[in-house]
Amino acid sequence: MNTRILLKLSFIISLLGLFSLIFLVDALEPDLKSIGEILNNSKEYSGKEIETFGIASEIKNFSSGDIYFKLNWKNDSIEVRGSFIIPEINQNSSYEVTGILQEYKGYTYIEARKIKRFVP
Amino acid sequence: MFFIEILLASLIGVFFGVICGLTPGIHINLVSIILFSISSFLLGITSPIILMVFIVSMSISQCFLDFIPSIFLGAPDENTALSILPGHKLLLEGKGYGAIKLTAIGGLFGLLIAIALTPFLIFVVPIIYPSITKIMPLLLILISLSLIMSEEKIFPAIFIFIISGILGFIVLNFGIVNEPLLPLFTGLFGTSLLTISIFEKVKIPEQKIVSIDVSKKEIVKTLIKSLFSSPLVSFLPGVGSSQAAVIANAFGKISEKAFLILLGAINIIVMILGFVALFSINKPRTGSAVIVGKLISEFGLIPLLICLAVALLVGGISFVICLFFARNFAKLISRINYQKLCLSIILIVTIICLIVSGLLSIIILITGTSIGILCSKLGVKKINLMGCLLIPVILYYFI
Repeated sequence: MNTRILLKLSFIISLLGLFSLIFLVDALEPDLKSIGEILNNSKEYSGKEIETFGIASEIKNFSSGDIYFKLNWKNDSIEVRGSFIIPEINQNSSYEVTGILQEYKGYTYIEARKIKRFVP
Repeated sequence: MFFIEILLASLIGVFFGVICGLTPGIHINLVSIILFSISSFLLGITSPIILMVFIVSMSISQCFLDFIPSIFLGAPDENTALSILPGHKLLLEGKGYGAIKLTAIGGLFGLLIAIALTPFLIFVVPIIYPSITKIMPLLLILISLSLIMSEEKIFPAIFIFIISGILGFIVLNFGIVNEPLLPLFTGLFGTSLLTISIFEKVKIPEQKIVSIDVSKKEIVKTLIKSLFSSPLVSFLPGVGSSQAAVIANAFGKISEKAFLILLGAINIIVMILGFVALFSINKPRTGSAVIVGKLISEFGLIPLLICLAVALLVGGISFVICLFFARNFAKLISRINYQKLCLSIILIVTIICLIVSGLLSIIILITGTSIGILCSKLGVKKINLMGCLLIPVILYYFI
C-alpha cells in the first residue's frame, strides 16, 4: 500500500480521535456549581454529573478503601463518597469534586469520580 | 483544561509506549503496575480518567512499536513472538522495513476494526459469553490438532508441541518466577533464533526502504480473519493475541507477508477489546485493562468512549512513529556486526530476565532456547511452539 495514502489515513484517524475527545470531554466536564445551588436543584441534578467545591470535614475511611466525607461551602454541606482510589483527604482542606449526584430515600450525596485540591 | 490534561496524558503515554515498545523485555504491564503503585500520590494531582488515558495511550503505541525489536533484533514478547520468523526472513532479504510496515498497516486497520466492532460486541458479548467459555477448550483442541496435522513432519511437530506445552505448563502453573512469559517467549522464539544466527554466521544485507506488495484482496482476507479470531480470545481468560493468531492461521492458508498484517491487527484489536470486555462483562482480560479497572471501579460508557477516542488519536500518531523508527533501524542494522549484535541482545535479555523474573528464569530461558533451536533443526514450523500456551490453557479449562 502506498505510504502517502497510509499517512493520510493515520492523520484522519488521529483527527477523528481528537474531535471525539473534544466532544466527550465536553460531555464529561460539567460547570462548577456551588453546593447550595446543587442542593436547591437536587431533583434536576439527580443522576447527573456535577462538579462542586468546598472544604472537607468529618472524614471516614473504610477498610474497603472507600472514603466518605462532608464537603462544606458557606452554610451548605453535602456528603461525598469515593468508591475508587482517591487522594488522601485532609480535614479543612479545599477540594473540587466531580461525580454523580445521588439521592437515596431523600438523602443526597455525591458519588465522586474525581477529587482534586481546589484553590478558591 | 481537562482536554489539555487528556491530550498531555496521551502524548506522555505515547512516549512511554515507544520506550516500552523499543526496549526488549520492558512491558507496559510493568509500567502500569508501577503507575498503579504510586496512584494514590498521582490522584492528588490528577484524576483517574487521566491515568486511564495514559495507560490506554501507552498500550496502543506499544502495540505498534513492539514489532521493531521483535523483527530487527529477534527479541519478542508474548504478542509478537510469532512475527519473528516471517519478519526475520524478510530482514534477511533486505526487507525489514517492509515487514514492520506490514505489521503497522495491520495495526492501523485493526484499530478501525476494533472501533467498528465495539457497539456490536457491547450488546452481544454479555449474552454469548457463557457459551464461548464452554466451547473454547474444544476449539483450542481442534486448532492444536489442525496446527500439527498441517505439518509435513507430523511426529516431530507433535514432539515440539508437547515439550513446549510441558515447559509452558510448568512455568505458568507453579509460580516459580515473576513475569513467566518473559523468559518463556524470549527463549522459545528470541534467543533460539539469535543463537542459530550466531552459529550460522548470518549476515544482514543492506536494507531497502521499500514497501512489500500484498494484494488488496489478501489484506481484506487477512483482516476478516483477525475480525473473527480476535473477539474470540478477547473476552476469555488465559488466551490472548498469540492464540488469536493461531486460530486465524487455522482458518486457512495465509502468506507470511499477510501473517505480519494479521499479527499487527490482532495485537491492537485484542488490546482495545480488553477495555470493551471490562465494560461489557466487567472482566479485564489484558494487563492494561486490569489496572484501568482498579483505577475506575465504575467503568461506564463515557470512560470506554474516551478509551476508544484516545486509541484513535494515538493509533494514527503511533503508526507514523513506528515507520520513522523502522526506517532508522533499517538504515542502522546492516552497518552493525550482526554476530556481535545477536550476542549483545542475548546478554541484555538475559540480564532483563534476571532482574524482572529472577535467577530461576535463566533455566527457563535456556530450556526455551534449546526447544526453539530443536524446532528449527527438525524443520518444524515455529508456530508449534505455541503449545507452550495452548496446552496450559486447554488444561486450565479442564482441571
